[in-house]
Amino acid sequence: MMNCKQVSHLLSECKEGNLPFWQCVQLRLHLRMCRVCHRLKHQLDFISRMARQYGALQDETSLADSSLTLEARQRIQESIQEHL
Amino acid sequence: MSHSYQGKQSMLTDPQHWVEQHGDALFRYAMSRIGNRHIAEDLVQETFIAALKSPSFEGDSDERTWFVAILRNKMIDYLRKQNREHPISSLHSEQEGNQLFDGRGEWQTQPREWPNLSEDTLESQEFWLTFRKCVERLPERLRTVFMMREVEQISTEELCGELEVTPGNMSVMLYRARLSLRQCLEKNWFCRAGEGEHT
Repeated sequence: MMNCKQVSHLLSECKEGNLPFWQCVQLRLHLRMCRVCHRLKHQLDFISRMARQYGALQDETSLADSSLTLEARQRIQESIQEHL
Repeated sequence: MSHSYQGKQSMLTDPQHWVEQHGDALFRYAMSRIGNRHIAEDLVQETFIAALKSPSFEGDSDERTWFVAILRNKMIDYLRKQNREHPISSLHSEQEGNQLFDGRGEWQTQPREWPNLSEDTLESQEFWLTFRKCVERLPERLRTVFMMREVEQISTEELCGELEVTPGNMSVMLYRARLSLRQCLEKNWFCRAGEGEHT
């Protein structure tokens, strides 16, 4: 019988989609009995969904407040100039 | 004069305007994944220089998409170099989660119920700022593999190959990133002080 620590690892690993069948079965059995690990699974799944949306938001100025400094801008511009 | 650039002048905008048109967006992209301003700036610079030399722009994709693809490769190159110089072979799964679990592997600090967990959360800008802060708090390599895997949706297999990392170490890094992020979101958003105490 797997303990909660092992289950937490498997919950992360199963996101990579290559968990052996017998481990999937053990995982499901554990999740049926353990509400805390079930909660963890729910939260990790939610984080995965959030992460996908986060990527799409990166370019939105409302979320992204950082930009190149004037010095970096000039340095990059000069570098492009040199390579033209 | 770059021969590569000469050949595709009609398809690309004038390189003199690249920094102005794409510089900030590429910088934010690199910054959100690498988390170090100087490295992010260097990667943007390398991206533009590689673009000038690259023969691969065919005009069948958006110019920004093309730059992002180059930048992504530059980031992978950077991480591969980091991994070579500072191997992560010392990572071991047994070291993980020691604060969360007791000696028998049972929960010591249980994940709490997230009282305000709903899809509406995703509409809140304040939430996303918290999410970003939590991502930024992850150690550099964990943050980057998390972003590559969960945000960019690059397969673990491809990531392991590109970064020259074993599947075991990749699995440990993703585990650490996911659990750290979970913990940070719980503390700073879902169960902030004064909220959800009744659960």
